[in-house]
Amino acid sequence: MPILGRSSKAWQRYPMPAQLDAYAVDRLGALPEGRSLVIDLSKTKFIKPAGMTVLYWLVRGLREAGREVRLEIGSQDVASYLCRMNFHVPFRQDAGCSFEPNLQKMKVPKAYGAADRLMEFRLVAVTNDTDVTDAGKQILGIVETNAPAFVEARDELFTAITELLSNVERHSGVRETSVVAQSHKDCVRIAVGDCGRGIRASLTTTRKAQIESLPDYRVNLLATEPGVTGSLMGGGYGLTTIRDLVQERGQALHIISGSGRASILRSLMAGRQLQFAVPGTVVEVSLARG
Amino acid sequence: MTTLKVAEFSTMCATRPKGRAFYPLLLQCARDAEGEFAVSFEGVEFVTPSFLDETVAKLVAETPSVVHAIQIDGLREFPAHELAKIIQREDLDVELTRTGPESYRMAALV
Repeated sequence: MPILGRSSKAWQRYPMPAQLDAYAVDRLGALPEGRSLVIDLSKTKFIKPAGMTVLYWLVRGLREAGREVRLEIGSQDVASYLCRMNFHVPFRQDAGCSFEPNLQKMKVPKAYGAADRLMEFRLVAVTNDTDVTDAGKQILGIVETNAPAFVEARDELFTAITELLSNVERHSGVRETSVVAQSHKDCVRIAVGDCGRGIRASLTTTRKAQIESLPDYRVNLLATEPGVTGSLMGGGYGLTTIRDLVQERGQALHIISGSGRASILRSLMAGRQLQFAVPGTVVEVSLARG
Repeated sequence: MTTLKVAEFSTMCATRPKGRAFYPLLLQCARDAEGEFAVSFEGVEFVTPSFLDETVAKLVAETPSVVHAIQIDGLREFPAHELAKIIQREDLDVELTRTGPESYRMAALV
């Protein structure tokens, strides 16, 4: 049934920053509690994989909570970006989620600049070990096709991707994850996100006393320590391996879970408490060419 | 020397569960070899550190009476480098040495 009139007062705005990246979550306020929410991307000029992943699971979480969501996009570049990445596709049958401009009606050329390549936004089922391996290989194939210079780092990339997907399968409690890949000059960024139980809840079973008094960002940093996320059967080196990799290569690892953002840049390990809790966990790894 | 070709099991040696599934075969091969034997990763597309931790590292660290040392062939630099770190972090009683291009020897220290 067509909507003949709607009060604008019912819609509360949730502004997004100019650059939607891992650090942007520091500046996001608490989510308004009203039923209808405008996610205001009018000032957003650039989106990185971690930002896109947070945005996706935020919208998804709001919709699953029965809230109406409208994404208002100001920049034509950002609209094109989201459209090319098929960001809107999972919501196309959802009358409670809309985009302005309407991404479903946009016609966007597939060609774009070689220096800043958008690669992929996709939802991946991770129900078992085979799913993890198959998805890892597919994502690696996409990276190698779009950024052939990274072929020489394929062992590192494959390990990073499969460890992240494996973490979702083993620890999140959900069976679906999103993967966003993007290359920028000499760097590839890959973000994996889910709407699962988050790192704190995952560690509570084995590290309750250790994490009880820690803020979320410290818990997220702790998850990169060797063996911390392991079970009685061993393991727990996935995030440690990725941390080492980014430190050795001078790139970055961001872990956003609960109300915390942990970042590892070269030898620097830092974090921030957020004003809102992200649904699940988002991890972004940046790797440079060897 | 007996050689176990991992590619005949899988060419995607990526995760801990995969490593755990491969371990009984590896252990049986070690028992049958009755001494030092080789594990070849020739033809394997990907090997992750987690897979190596669940297989070759576990074999030598936990069953030195069955196999005191193994030769590992066809293993690229990154997984070998990360395996060495895991050995250090877990304080396993094993030593990994490079014997040639993509070739390593893993021996028990006890």
